[in-house]
Amino acid sequence: MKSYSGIGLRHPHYSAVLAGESKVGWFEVISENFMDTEGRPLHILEKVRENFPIGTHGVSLNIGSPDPINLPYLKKLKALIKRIEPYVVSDHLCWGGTEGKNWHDLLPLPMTEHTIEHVVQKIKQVQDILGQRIALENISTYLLFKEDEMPEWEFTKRIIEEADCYLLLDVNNIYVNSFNHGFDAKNFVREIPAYRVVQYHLAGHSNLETFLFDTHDHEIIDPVWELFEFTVNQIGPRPFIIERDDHIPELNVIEAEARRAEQIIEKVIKPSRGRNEQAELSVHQSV
Amino acid sequence: MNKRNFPSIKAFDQGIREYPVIPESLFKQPPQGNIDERFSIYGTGYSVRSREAMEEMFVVLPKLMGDKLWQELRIAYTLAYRSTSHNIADVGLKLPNYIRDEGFEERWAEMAELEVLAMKSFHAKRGFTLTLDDFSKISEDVRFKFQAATILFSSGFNCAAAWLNRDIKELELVPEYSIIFRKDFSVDIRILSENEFEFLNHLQTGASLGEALDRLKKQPNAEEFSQWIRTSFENNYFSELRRDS
Repeated sequence: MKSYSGIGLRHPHYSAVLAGESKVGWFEVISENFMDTEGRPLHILEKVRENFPIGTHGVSLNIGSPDPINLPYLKKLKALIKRIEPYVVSDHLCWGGTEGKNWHDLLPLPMTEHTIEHVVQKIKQVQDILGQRIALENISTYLLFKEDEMPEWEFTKRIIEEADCYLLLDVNNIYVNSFNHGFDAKNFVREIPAYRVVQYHLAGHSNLETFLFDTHDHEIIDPVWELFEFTVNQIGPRPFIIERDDHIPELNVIEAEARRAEQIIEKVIKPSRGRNEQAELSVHQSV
Repeated sequence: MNKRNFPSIKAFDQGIREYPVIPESLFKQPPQGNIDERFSIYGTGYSVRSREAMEEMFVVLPKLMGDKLWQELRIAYTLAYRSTSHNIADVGLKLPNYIRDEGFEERWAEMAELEVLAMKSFHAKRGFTLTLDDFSKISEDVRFKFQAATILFSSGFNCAAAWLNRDIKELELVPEYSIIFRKDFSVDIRILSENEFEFLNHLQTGASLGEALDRLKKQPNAEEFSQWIRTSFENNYFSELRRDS
C-alpha cells in the first residue's frame, strides 16, 4: 500500500474499490454525501473504511459566512466522524451562503483583518465542538475584492496560525489563482508554514483563455505537476489525493496520476532522506 | 461602511441572486479578461449544480414532461427556491409542492412526489430484517414496525407504473396504489391492489394483524392473505414484530 497516494472516492468507482482493484493508500470523501444517509452510500463507505484510511472533506461548513456556526450541521458531521474515524477532517476557506441559504459554491472571502478575526473565531468554535483540529483548503478564485488588504498567502497563513488549525494545500488552486490574479505561485508556497500542511490536493482545470476555471474534469497539466514537485521540496511529503468530479475516467486512469504524484514524492524524499531524518531528530531532542 | 455587517459578502450574495446584473464595483479589475466573464462562474454556478442534482433525483418526470416543459419548470423552481440544506442532493425536495402551488398539472406533482419518496427510501435507515422464523410467529395480535425505507404511496395517476416501465410515455388518470421499499440497498416499487394497500396502511398506522383485517371493506381469501404476508417478508417491509402483552 502506498502511504501517501489517495483519490476522491466517487460513485463510478465503488465496485472497483470494493473488489480490491484500487492500489492507492487512502480515500477522501465529500462529508455531506454521507451525513444524511443510512443507505448504500454509508454502507459502501463503511466497507471501504474497513481496509483504507478515510479523510472527510466538506463543502458546506460555510466558515467565512457572516452566519453563525450551523450547529445541526456540525452535529451531523461529528456523528459521521465518530462513525468513520477519518484521519483528517477538512473543508474550505470560503463562504457558501448567507442567512441560512446555500449557493453550494466555494465563494471568495474579502482578505481583510476583519475577515481574519471573524473566521478565526468561527474555526475555534468548530474545533471546540468537534473536539479536534480541522484542515481548511485554499480555494480557486476568479475575482479579488477591492477591499482586500493582503495577498492570499498572507491571509491563509494568518488564519491557520491564529486559529491553530491545519491547511489542506490545493496545489492546483494555487496555480489557478496565480494565473487568474497574476502572482508567483512558488512565492505562495514559500510563504506557507510547512508544519500546518496536512494534505495536498491535485486536480485538473479548464483553460478559458483569460482565466482558469477549477473544474476537476481534466487531467493534471504539467505546470501543476511542476508546482507540486516544488511544493513537496519546499514543504515535504504529505498524503495527497487526485480530485476528479466530472468526466470521471476509469479508476486506473486516476490511479496513474496518483502514481505520478507518488513518484514525485519519492524523487524528492530520496536525496533528502538523511536531511529529513536529521531534522526530525532535532525536533525530538528539542522536545 | 460598517465592516461588522460584511457588506462585500452581502453584496456578492445579492450579485449572484441578481445575475446577470454584476456588482462590478466590488472587484478589482483582473489582469486579463473582465469582471463580467469571471463573475459568470459564480452567477451561473447554483443553476448548474441544482440542475445536476435535480436530474439525479428526477429521472422519470423529465421524460414524461418532455425537455422543454421540464426545463421551464426546473428553472422556475430554481429561481423560486433557494437551498437551505447543506447537501445539494436535497435541492429538489420541494418540487412537488412547488408544482402544486404554481398550478402545474397534478400528475406532474404526483410523479415528482414518487421520485422524492424513492430517494428518501434509498437513504433511509436500515432496521432489522425479519426472518422466516419470525414469519412463523405471526398471530392476530401481532403488530408490525415498518422499515423506514418502506413507504406506501397512492396516486390518481399511473406514476408507479411509469417508474417501473420507462417505456410509458404518458401518465394516465387511473387510481394506483403502490409500495416503495428497499431490498438490500436497491429501491423498488410494487403496485398493489386497493385492498392490499389498505391492509398495509392499517398495519403501518399501528393496527394489529387482526385489526387490519377487520377494518378492510373486502376480506381477502386465505390464498390472497398468505400471498400478502409472504411478499411483505420477502420484500423486507418490516423491521420488527410486537405483541401487546
